[in-house]
Amino acid sequence: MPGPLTPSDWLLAAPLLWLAGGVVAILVLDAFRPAARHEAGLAFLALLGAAWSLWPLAEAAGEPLEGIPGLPVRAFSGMLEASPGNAVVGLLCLGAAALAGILSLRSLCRLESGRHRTALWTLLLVAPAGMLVTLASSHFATLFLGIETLSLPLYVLSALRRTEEGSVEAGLKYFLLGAFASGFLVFGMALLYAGTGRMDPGAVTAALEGGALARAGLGFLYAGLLFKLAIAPFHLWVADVYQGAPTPITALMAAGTKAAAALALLHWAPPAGPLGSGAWALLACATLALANLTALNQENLKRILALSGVAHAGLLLFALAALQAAPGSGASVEAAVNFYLVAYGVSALAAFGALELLERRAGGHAEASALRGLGRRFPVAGGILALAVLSLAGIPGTAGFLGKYFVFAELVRSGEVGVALLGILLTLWSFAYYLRILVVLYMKDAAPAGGPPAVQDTPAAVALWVPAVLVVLLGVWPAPAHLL
Amino acid sequence: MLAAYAPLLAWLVLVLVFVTGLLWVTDRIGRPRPATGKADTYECGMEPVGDAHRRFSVHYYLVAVLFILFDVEALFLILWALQARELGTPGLLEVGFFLAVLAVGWLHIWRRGGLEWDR
Repeated sequence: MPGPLTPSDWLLAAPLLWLAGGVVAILVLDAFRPAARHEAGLAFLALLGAAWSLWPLAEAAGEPLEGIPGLPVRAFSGMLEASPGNAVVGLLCLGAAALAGILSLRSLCRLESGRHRTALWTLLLVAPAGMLVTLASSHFATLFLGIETLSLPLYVLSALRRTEEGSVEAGLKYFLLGAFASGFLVFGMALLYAGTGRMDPGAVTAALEGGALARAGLGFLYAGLLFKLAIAPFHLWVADVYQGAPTPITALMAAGTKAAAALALLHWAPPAGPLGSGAWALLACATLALANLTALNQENLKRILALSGVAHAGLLLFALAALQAAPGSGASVEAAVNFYLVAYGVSALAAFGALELLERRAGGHAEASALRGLGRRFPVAGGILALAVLSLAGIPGTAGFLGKYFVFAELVRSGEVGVALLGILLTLWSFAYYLRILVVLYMKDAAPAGGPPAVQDTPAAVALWVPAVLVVLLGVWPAPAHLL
Repeated sequence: MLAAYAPLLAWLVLVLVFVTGLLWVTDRIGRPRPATGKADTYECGMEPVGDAHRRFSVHYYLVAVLFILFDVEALFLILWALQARELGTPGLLEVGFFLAVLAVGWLHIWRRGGLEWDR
C-alpha cells in the first residue's frame, strides 16, 4: 500500500492541485452566482498559483531541492518524473493557457451565454493540467491520463464557436481522429504490457528485445504519440483543426500540446538499439518535406502557421535520431529539446496571438487576401507577427534560430552529418512560405476594411509583448538555456 | 493448452442442443393461437404507436450521459469499500474528498439546469 505523500509527490502534485482547485472554485461559484463574472479572475489566479508552485523545480537546475533526493524529481512511486527543464516547458504550457485566456477576454468570452464562459475557463485550466501530467509521465497510466486530460478539453474548445461551421468541423475532426489515436495508444500499451509485463519506460527496452507482440505494441504506442505530435503520416488533421478552432485555442494547441507530446515521446523514446537513428531521421525528413510542400500552396495564414508547426515537430525528431546514433547523449539532447520547445512555443504564441488581433481587424478572416497590407496599418500586431515568423523560420537573432541550432548541433555531434545537412536544406526550403507571410503583411496594398470595426483589446495587445520579448531575449541571450 | 478450452466447447454444444431442442419441442406440442397483441413489436411494455421519427428533447441525452458518468464514478467506491477497514481513517478522508469533488460537479449540473430533461 502506498504510504503518505513525500515532498517529491507534493512538488509535482502542487501545480495540478492549483489548476484543479481553480476548476472546482469556478464550478461552485458558477452554480450559485451565475451572473457574477468571476471566472476569468479565478482562472488566472489558479494559473499563477500553478506557475508559482512549479517555479522551485524550474529554478533548481544543478542544486538539489530541500527534502527531495536528487533530480529529476520522481513522484508517486515513479509514475511522474520531471527535470528542471521539463518544469520550464511546463511553465510554457501554463503561459500558453494564460495567453489563450487573455486573448479570449474580448472575443470568445462574449460569444454566447454564461454557460460557455464557464466551459471556456474551466477547460482552459484542465488542458494545461493534462499537459503537465503528459510531459512528466513515466508510467502508462499517467501517460494515458495526461494525454486524455489535455485532449478532451481541446476537442470542446476547438468547437467553442459553435455557430461557425469551421469551428464545429475542427472540433469533430479533432475528436474523431484524436479518439482513434487514443485507441492506438491504449492498445499499444495493452500489447506492451502483455508482451513485457512492464508499464514504465523500461517496457520499451524490454519490447525491443522481446517478441512480436511487444514489438507490435511499440508500433501502436508510437503511432498514438506521433499523432498527438502531428508527425507525417499522422499530420493531416492539423491544418483543418488549427484553421477552424478559435485562434486563441490554436495558440494553446500549437505551443502546449506540441510541447507535452514531444516530451512524452522523448521520455518513451527507445534507447539506442536495433531501431537505429534511420527510422527517426526518415520520419523527420518526410514530415518536413510534406509540411513544406503543403504550406507553399496555402492561402490561409492560419493553415500556413499550422503546417509550420508540423515542420517544427518533424525537426524535433532529428533530436531523437541524434539520441539513437549517440547513446549517452541523453542529457544534452533533452536540453536541446527543452530549449527548442520553449523557443517554438513562444514564437507560435506570438504568431497566433498577433494573427488573432489582425484577424479581428479583417473581419474574422485569416486569408492572405483579407490580411493584405495590414502589417503597415497595424504596426504593433503586424510587427510581432513578422518577428514571430522570422523566429519560426530560424533567422539568427531570434529564439527559433538557436532552437534549430541546438538540435542540429546534437545531430552533428552524434556523427550524422549527412542527415543534418539534409535537415538544414529542408529548413531553408520552408523560408519560401514564411517570407510569403511577410510579403502579404508589408508589400501588398491594403485590403479594404471588412466587417465591423474591431473592439480595442488592450489586455491582449499588452500580453502579446511577453512572447515577443521572449523571442528576442532567448535569441540573443540564451544563457537561461543552460538551465534546461 | 487447447484442453483448457474443453469446458467452453461442452458449454457451446449444450447451448446449441438446449436452444434447438426447446424450439423443436414448442413447435411440436404448442398450439398456435395468433392474436394482434402477439404480432406487435415488443417495446419494453410501452405501446408502440406513432412514427419512429419522433422528435424529443436533446436534454434527454444529456441526462443519460450524466447518468453514465456518475454511474462510473460510483464504481470507484466499490474499490474503496472492499478495502475500507484496512485503509482506515485516511482512506475515509480520501474517499470523502473524492465524493466532495464529485458533488461539486453534480451541484453545478443541477444548479445550471442540466437535469431538466423535459425543458
